[in-house]
Amino acid sequence: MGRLIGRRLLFLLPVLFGILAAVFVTMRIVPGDPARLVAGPDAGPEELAAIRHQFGLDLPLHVQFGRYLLDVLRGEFGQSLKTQRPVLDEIVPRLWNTALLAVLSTFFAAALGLLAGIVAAARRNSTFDHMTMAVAMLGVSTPSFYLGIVLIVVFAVMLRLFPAGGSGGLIHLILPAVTLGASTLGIVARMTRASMIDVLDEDYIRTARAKGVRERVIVARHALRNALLPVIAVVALQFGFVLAGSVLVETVFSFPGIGWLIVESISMRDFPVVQGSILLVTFVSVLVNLAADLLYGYADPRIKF
Amino acid sequence: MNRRFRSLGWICTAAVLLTAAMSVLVAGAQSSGGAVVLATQSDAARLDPAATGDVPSMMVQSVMFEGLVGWDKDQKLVPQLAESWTLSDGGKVITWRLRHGVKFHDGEEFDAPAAKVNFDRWLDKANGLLTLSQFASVDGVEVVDKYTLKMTLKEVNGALLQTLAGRRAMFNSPKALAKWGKEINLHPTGTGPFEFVDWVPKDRITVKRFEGYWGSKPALEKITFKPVPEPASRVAMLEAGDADMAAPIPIQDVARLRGNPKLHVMMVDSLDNLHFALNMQKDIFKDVRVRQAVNYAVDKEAIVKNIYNGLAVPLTKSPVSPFLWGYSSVGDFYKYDPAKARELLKAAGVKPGTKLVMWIPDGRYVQDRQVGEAVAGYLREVGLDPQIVKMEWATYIGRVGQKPDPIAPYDLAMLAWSVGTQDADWGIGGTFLSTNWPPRAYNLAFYKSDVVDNALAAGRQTTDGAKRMEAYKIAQKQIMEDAPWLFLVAPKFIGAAKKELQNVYVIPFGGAVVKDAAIKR
Repeated sequence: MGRLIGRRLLFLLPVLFGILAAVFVTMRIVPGDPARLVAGPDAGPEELAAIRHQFGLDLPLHVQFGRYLLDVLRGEFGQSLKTQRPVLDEIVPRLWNTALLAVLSTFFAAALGLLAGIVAAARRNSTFDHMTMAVAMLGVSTPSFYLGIVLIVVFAVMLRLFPAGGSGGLIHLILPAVTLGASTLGIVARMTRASMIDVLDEDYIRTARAKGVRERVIVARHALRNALLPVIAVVALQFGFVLAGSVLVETVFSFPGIGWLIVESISMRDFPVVQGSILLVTFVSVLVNLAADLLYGYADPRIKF
Repeated sequence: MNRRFRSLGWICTAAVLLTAAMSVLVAGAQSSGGAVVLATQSDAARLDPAATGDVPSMMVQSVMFEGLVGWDKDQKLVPQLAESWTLSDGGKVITWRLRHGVKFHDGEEFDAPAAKVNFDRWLDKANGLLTLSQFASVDGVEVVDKYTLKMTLKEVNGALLQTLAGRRAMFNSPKALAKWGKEINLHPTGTGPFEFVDWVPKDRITVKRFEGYWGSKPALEKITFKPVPEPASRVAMLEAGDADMAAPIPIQDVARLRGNPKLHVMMVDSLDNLHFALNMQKDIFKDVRVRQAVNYAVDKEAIVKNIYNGLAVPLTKSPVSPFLWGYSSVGDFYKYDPAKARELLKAAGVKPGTKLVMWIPDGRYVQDRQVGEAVAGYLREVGLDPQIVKMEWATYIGRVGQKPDPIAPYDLAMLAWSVGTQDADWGIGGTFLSTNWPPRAYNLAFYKSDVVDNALAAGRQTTDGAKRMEAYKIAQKQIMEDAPWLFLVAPKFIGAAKKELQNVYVIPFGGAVVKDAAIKR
């Protein structure tokens, strides 16, 4: 296991460098003048020149990259062109918010999805099975943006059970977490059902039934454990997608997360924030995948690192 | 295996409980008592007035800062931190008599030395602030006595008073400037009725009543500005009661909100003048008949009625919004007449099926995509072949703002020009002065008219309001006749608030004013 962790962390360095170089160059090639976007259309040439000079945007590209690389190695990610705040002050709270949202949405999706998948598999081809799979398909295929708006209208505006957006405690996370987790819930439910059906057809399950073991015990103790293994892998992968794809949900719910920050920073050509955000999100994603692999290995003792 | 799964289960449960516990610790924005929540379209960029020009920033700054002059609810110029002023030396010297008893939020007194510190900061090129070009005509500022300031200009500037009211010229405490330096942006210290409390980026900015305010004490105790980028979510927050006011409001929600007895809707003619600049570097638009034909071909009244639900003003009497200082109605131009449009095109030798490239900044302006498609439809009806090219805003403004090499690639380019000074000098000059071709500014039509240039210069070089109005009237008339644009509309800026929230209004530059608000129970 130690070798796996060491290998993955070592591999992280060239990945981060490559990502950094790609983002750095891409942001500067794409049309759009960050000085103009910061200053507004009515700013004069002197103001634009001053802004470019202040942020080193008038230096040659290779000099800008070299300086930035050295700063990053020192742990300094620069200042936001838009707000002049330190980039880490912009990113870290938002990354934390999105992580909270991702954890809650994944938990909601995994818990409900597992339950639905197990019962659907145990009652294969029943009305409950068909309804559950239909709802799961709806969760997978409904655009998160649309689902979010619908939940706001129903639960915030009409029923006043939840706030319509923003942050401020667990209650603000419920609707965004449900919206973000709906797709994962559908995938987990379907995956669990399929996996359970495979396992329930195994010889050892037939043996258990022949020995008179109660069906509930067969499902919960004998079948579930083995059926869970592919589901763990899917949930871990989905967590990464959720982390990266939260921007639509964050926008609908005005939730101050990293997705919203990245998209807005790209629109504003706020180079330092984009670079820092993508770097940190990449770092977190690699760690999440590593954690997923370790979790999988822990769950299945047959897997050796 | 059983033990492993049990421990896995406990680990997951503990992680979720910890997550929930951490999320409970985050404080949020709630509307209660003398506090209001205003849902805006985006977070402020900066809280230093001299370093920003965007509407969300100015909305927050306007409750914390004041300048020598300001605007009242009807957008008329009024004294603010200056009680009075006199002009001398043909308008090149302005002597300001400052208000007594004004304190900054940190307890420091506002006086002539404090004002000078700010002016010197704005005029210093080394600071790179957004006040450089706006105050380019100011030579210097000197302290005459504790409450008298003398401002000397390099040349007469009739637009200067409007510029000083334009929200960039609002004063920070010199003590705070000295203490925080470049970080003053995060520690705003003005003289306004509200003082800064905190700023959680992308979540909220909170201000509280300043008990030492020199003027009428605000009724509200606290205001929270909450960025809500998605318009539907902004409206939902208002309807759900999570926000007390929301601006802007989408046009399609106005009728429904008007029918809600718990809310009231406010609107004002915005300063935006949505148009397509006709690229006069291209041969086709060098002929005035073609430019006029394009204007006759498009039914602006129908666009106002069907795309804006009546909530816009067609630009048929002037190229600028009625709320711009210097606006004059100079006639009734280009009433919809497709037959006349075809006739003019034929006389100009334009062949049917002539391609035109139309650039549109997708999603930047209210209903911009719909307007672009409608215009394309109208142009097709008169035999032209428009090709729409949509771009996201940053790319768009970068490309239209480039120096042409040698000519700009578009035939028509959409823009809405709105200026924080609310004055015709920059409101017309920015898009029609011949020295303001890209990359300097946004004369995207590459229009040049000696009549307009001279009229704008005349308007700038006098402080006589009537003479300025006359000069800008000449400019507007010439522009309408020359038709360097496909003139379209000035949309209304719309906000809505809870019925019990009184004394709030929206302003033409965009944004809402809440500093005089009161909750009527």
